[in-house]
Amino acid sequence: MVNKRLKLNRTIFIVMLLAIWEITAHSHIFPELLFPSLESILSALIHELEKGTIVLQTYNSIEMILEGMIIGDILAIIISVWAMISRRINEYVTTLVSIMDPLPGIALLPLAILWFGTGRNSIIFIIIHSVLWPMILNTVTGFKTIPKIYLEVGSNIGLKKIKIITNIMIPSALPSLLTGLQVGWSRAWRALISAEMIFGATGKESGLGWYIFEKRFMLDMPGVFAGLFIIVAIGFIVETVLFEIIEESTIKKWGMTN
Amino acid sequence: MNRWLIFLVIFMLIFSLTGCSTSTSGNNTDANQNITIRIATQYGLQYAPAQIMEKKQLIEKYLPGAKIEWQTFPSGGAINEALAANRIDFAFMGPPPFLISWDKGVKIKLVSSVQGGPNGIVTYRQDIKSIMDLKDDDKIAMPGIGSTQHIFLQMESDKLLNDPHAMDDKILSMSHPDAMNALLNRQVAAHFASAPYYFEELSNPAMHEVLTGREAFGGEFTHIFMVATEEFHNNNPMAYAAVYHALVDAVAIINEQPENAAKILAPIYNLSEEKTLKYITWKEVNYSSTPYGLLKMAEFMKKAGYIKKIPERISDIAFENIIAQMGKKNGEQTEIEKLQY
Amino acid sequence: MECFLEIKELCKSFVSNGRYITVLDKISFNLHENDFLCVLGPSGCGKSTLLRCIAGYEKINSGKIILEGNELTKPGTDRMMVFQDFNQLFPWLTVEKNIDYPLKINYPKLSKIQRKELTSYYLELVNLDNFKDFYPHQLSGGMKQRVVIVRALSLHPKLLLMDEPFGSLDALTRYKLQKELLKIYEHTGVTIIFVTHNIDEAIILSSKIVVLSQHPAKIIDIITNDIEQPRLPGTPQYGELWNRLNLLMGLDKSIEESAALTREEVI
Ligand SMILES: Nc1ncnc2c1ncn2[C@@H]1O[C@H](COP(=O)(O)OP(=O)(O)O)[C@@H](O)[C@H]1O
Ligand SMILES: [Mg+2]
Repeated sequence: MVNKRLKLNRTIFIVMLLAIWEITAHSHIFPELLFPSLESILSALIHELEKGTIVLQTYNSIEMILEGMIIGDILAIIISVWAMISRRINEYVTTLVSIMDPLPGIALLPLAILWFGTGRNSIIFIIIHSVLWPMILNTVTGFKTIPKIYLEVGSNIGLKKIKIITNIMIPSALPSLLTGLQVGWSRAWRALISAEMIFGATGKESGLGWYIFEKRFMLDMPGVFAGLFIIVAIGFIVETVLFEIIEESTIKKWGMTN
Repeated sequence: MNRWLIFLVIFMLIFSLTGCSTSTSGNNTDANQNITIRIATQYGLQYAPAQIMEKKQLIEKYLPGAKIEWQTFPSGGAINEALAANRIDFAFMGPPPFLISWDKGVKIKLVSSVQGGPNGIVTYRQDIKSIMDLKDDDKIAMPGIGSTQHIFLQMESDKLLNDPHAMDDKILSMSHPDAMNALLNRQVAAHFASAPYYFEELSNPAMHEVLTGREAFGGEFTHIFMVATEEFHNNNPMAYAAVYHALVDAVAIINEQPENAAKILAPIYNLSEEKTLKYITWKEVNYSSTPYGLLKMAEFMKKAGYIKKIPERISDIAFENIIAQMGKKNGEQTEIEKLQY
Repeated sequence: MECFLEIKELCKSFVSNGRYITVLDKISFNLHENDFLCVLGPSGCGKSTLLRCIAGYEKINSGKIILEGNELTKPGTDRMMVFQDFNQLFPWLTVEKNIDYPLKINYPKLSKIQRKELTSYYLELVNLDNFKDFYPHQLSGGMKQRVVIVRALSLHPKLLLMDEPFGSLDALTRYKLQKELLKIYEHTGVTIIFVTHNIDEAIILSSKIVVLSQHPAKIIDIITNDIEQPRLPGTPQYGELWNRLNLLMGLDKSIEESAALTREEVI
């Protein structure tokens, strides 16, 4: 029941926002060119979907994000496990995280070009940078807050180091790991879009960032917002459907949420 | 429901407040003394006249007491948004973003040409003699779609392959300095460079040129224009004249006293004076208030799908001083008019 | 004669705020197979520490712990620990899998079906077969402790180490679980070391009682408890042992007061 009411509230909220947008657009407080109405955004969206390139670009973006997230998250878990081994390594890792985490990925673009050349690999590097540090932060916190008793029971029932990590530490820290994944997911999108705007491959390899850059250059604001809409929609689906399903079938089912 | 209402009201208030603050300048004529002129420029020696105007306070010479707000923008696209939002009065930009803005109905026109400079595709690869030699994975770095370089590439591709977009897949968008680095590190096959990167790259013996902008365009062209909003032009004739004349002065200074100009520009670009002088006086670099290739650019941009209409008369896209510069002959085009095609 | 478990002059101290705190001071005792030892002592005296040393979780400073002739230094499945904490089952595994998983790790040769049979045997032992598909958070505290006990037993430990496993339960449930534990003890013949600070619990369960003193823990007395089952607070032997233990622990409530309290709790 509560859930239903929350959903209804959320829907009302979104409808309100859209209404405010529409009223503002039609009141012409802002130049129409920069603040398009919902109809023109919708028709731009339909037009782009019919043309099809935006579908490919969305696919490319998601592919780059997944690639960056998989590499970044696995790396983060390895580093976090490593940081668990000794105080000193932990100290180094925490220092590194506090230095690197606030750095915008774009600032690393010159290095990315130097190491990975131009194109896809550099963008993936920037995405890895944006997911790696928050993931380490959350994983280390997750590992640190694992109840000692699970580790003791683990060693009591005869588990060796690797099994302790994979079968006890990771499931115990899952709530934090999921938070890390979620933070990484939204950071990855921001990184992708901004990287592509500065430095993008065109044509078959381009993603949504490039699409928005192109539309912006053409002063095609309905087109820009159509692109933003796709990003928002993907984000919404992933956050409220995918992550929800993952949580329902893991930490919620196991009673590991508060 | 009450909360929603309050929320809505606050939202509308915020929106309308920000809406009100958009147009502050350009409201009156004889209050020239307190007028604020907002000018957008970009970073690069193509925009040198803008920096000369600012540093030598050339506008203030004609309009004492005027407040000039200089803003540096990262790209023509960003300037277009500021123009559409009525946040700036004058802007320095390339022909493609100007024509796109004009086509979309933003009320702006050309004030003057600023600079024309050489550019071209530079590569280290011996096997690349023409753009037709680029392999599937080879990329040409250049500053974004709709950059002058991109349009030149499309013109060449139109000539060779009968399709302006045939080479679009080959573009890798990045700024000129990044692109030069990438080329010198051989991470990208080619760079469609403009001056001074163009010269720097070609002075490296391992590099050679595949195509010049002039070849692709088929003649002389203007790289950078100055534009103004019609609103500002119509409401502030004195200020408009002052800005235009300050620009003319700046162009003249660069052409007549390049050493002097280099002295002003060198610290801005963190270059030595010798190097600055070399860059602003290099072969084919032309700071001039006379436009070149304007209508040819517009026609091609329409063909390639950037814009939907082309200017019927020069007065559709330019203010009176350019019209006067073009001249008018009965029965035939003037020499300057011919240079626009 | 060689003993089943031999603890010799065990000393253990912690460094806390830069100071050495001796917790266990030359603890020595022996245990026979099939003994049910209760370690009785006031809270904070070092009972858990003693158990953790035997389990291998703590490095001892001096002394020896010898099980069937082998000196013990690290944790192993020959000594299974049951803690007081209700959250010692893995929350991400069902009740069944919580028992199945240790079996799978320790007896890799067992087939899936064999493991299933074993799991169900142990769950039936504590009447929880119906709950095998539940997750731990869906069980009550008492149910969880029963699962933990059979999880430990399923690995056939030589020693079952129990650290106040019923300490957080309500009196009625505690009473039921004590009975159940005695049943299991008789049924399996496992050797148990059971830590408690509750005199009644020690009397009801043990075959032998070690009484520890406060700060640092020393053995005050080792008592053999051979009162016949069922051990009821009303009987004279019960009251006698109770008073003796009470005196040893330096408490001064009389048996009558406490017995009344205990009965009330049970009811
Ligand atoms: N890891 C530790 N570090 C420092 N002191 C400890 C540690 N573990 C236990 N102690 C101390 O040892 C004493 C005995 O603790 P414990 O064995 O838990 O007592 P009991 O189980 O009898 O209540 C307590 O004073 C406690 O503070
Ligand atoms: Mg204890």
